[in-house]
Amino acid sequence: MTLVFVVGRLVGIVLLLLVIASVLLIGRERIAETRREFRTRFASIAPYVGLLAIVLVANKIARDIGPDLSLIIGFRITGRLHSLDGMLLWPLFPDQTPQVVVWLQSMATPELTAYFAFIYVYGYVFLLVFPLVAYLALPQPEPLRRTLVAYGANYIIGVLCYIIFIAYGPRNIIVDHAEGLLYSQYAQYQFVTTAVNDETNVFPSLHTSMAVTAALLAWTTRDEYPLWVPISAVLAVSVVISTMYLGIHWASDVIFGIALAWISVSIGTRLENRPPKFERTKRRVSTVINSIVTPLR
Amino acid sequence: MNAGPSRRRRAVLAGAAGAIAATSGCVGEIRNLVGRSRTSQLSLTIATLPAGDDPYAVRIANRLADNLQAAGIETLVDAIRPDVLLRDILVNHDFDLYVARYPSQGDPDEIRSMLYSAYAEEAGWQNPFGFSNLSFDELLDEQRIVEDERRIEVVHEIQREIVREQPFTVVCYPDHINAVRTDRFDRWPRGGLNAAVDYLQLDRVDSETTLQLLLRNSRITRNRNPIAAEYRDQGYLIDLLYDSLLRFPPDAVAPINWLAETVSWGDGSTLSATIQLRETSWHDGEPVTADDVAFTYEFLRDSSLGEFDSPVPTPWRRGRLSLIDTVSVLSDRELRITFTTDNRSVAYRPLVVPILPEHIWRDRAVAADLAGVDIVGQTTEALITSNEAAVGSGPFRFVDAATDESLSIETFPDHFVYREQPDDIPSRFAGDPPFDRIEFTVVPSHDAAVQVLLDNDADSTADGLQASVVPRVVRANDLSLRIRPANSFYHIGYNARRSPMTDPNFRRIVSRHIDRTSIVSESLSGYGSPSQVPLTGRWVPEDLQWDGEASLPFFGTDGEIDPEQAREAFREAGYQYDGDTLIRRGDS
Repeated sequence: MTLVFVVGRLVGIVLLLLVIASVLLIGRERIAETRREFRTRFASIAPYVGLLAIVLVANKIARDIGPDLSLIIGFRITGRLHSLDGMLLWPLFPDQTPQVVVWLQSMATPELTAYFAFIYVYGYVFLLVFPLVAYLALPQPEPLRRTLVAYGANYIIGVLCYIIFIAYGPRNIIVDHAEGLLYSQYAQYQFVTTAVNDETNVFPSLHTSMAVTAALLAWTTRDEYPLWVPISAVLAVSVVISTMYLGIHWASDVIFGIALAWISVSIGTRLENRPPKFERTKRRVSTVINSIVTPLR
Repeated sequence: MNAGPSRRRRAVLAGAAGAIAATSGCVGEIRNLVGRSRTSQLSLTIATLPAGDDPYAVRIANRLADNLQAAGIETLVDAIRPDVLLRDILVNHDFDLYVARYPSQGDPDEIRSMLYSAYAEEAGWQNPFGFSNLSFDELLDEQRIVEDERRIEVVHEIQREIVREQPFTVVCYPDHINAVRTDRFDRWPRGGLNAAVDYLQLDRVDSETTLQLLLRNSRITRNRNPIAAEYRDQGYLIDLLYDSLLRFPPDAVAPINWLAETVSWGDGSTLSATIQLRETSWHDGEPVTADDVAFTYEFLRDSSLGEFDSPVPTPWRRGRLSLIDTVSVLSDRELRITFTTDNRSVAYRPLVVPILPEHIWRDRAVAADLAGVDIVGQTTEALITSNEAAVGSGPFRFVDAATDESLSIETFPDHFVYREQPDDIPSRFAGDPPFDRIEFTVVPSHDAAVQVLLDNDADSTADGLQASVVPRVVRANDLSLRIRPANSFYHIGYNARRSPMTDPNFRRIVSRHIDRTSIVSESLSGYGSPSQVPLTGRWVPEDLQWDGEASLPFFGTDGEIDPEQAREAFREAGYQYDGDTLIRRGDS
């Protein structure tokens, strides 16, 4: 029940944001043009959409079996992340270095918590979906291709890391000092996040990498959408801070998330003019999946 | 605990030494020097559960880690999912220290299972520490055969020895906390649902016939094997599906007859009991017979049924089984059990283990393999099966489950407890069932559980709540709070197979790095009681009752450690320091 309600509200609010942003940023002219050229535009990105679809299906499978597989072959790094997190602020506080998450939460106010919770859930989804709409409204196919590849790369690399590294976030570890603010204050969101994710999927932060990816992509389309650059930058920075402020990620997850975003965007830029060889990828992916899934059945 | 760098350093040193030796000639002295291992900081890992699975364990582990760190020991906290943690500790014995809850029922004989030397090699909740001590063994054996009065004295002696030797360090007893809605069902017990019989005493208020419960711990949705040590620790849920000869309701002073209709204790030289079974059936329709009971006791003692060279005992309730000497079947519904103790208040213990259907479990007495290869050895199918479609004879039967999401069970109408006035079963449990179905839904956190209760989508939680949500429950008009003290306790376990945890002095000093009072008041928000010994009430001698300070007192005040005191204690016990770090020689 709660899940349906929360997802319904999520869809509603994100749609509302999309409509407002489309009117303000894309403009009526582009939208009208897109409606006329919809077929040709879609045809020029079709292989990329196919690729993303395969990635998402593979991702779904990997996430279902991932946690169990990960416990068999993965490395447990929670303790390392925890101690690393206690050293990062050393330049600022050489005497008594606080944990990054604890330091951020020491500045918490109810308003900030409400803001970051909103950003973490709604702002994030909007930040990821809007580029898809905005780039479809452009006559050239490259930005959308770039975006699809970059998103796919994030997921593939992210999920592989989740299988290799087993880690719990701050809210599960340093509970005496850092609260899982999102889940204690807005427990309803947890039904959504647990439905799409396992709590050991922490390193790296996919929230960070996807949000930063969207912001980096915005810079590549600064000529077409100049206003989207500052908006996406503010949103991305807010998402990045929210992951730590809400006690969900360690600072190391965030740093690696940013690196992953940069890698994904480079991959996206490299592949935007050369549609990947579909058949081979498909065969490879299915061989890998089969070899993983068959013995587990 | 890494050999790499020190080896490399040694190689460099050896190279340098060779060069010097060639010029100076005093080879012997140099060989003596480089032949020694380098010293390095002692580093320990504390295994525990993430806060999502156990709200308190990781808090205790963090405090201990911080304080040990202050004393110069590099300490990491490694949190991991419960089934993995228990496999590491109980089966693989792969840990330095751990912080977890011991699933105690409050009987002193449990201490024997925890510490008995002969159990150190076995997998399960029996001596996971690898502790061995002959005088302990004698006391542990003695407490189970002597008369009640003498038993109390022996147990007091054991308690004093535990405080002295610190084979494990008891930290505190957390309270059972629960929230219930009373608009559909009432007569909720104190502390909420904590035992299978608690379900039977509920009363229906209106027409609703499905009881909706929330679960935080989702292990029962993955695995319903009554003897899998990784999955059964806190939980009583398996007892809804499986019956035992006797049951021990939470507030009762003595066990009540359950599957056993009558128990007549014999007068012979060794204690024996003749047990008449009730007429009832397994959930698949087969009758429950004395053969099933005899099979269960044989099977739990050796789940390979003699197939393996050495027996593979149950990893769970092992100590209890050793109280049974022989089981003989007299007729279809009658059997005679002889015990290895003469004390009836100990002898009941093996009679409360779940009885398994022979026609299902006999086939599981084979070596567990992966695609036909026996990869681990000394493990039977019975220990690793997830027993999804559990067939028991309990008051409820399994309907279906979705892993990590939900579990449905329904009342088993043929069960004797629903008959008109079954003999010897208290009337509050007997008679028409208050509901005909129970739906358990897994929730992602205790905060989420309270939210669902407030939304009126559930009646209570099946595995309790953490202290941090109490204020929300108190504020809500529709929810009522249920609290009772628990038998299970948090403890620090030491792997006595590994140095330096082999050293009682080391363990004693580590135990002085936790301030029990501040743990209970801060980490448990006051919902618990500090303790330095396992067991409560009459089993605790006067001098070990909690009076605000442990016999091995905390190094510091109000939770704040005084590192100098701690380091001084380690130094006195013979440990060496380089500046503020505790160092040891070799690769340990």
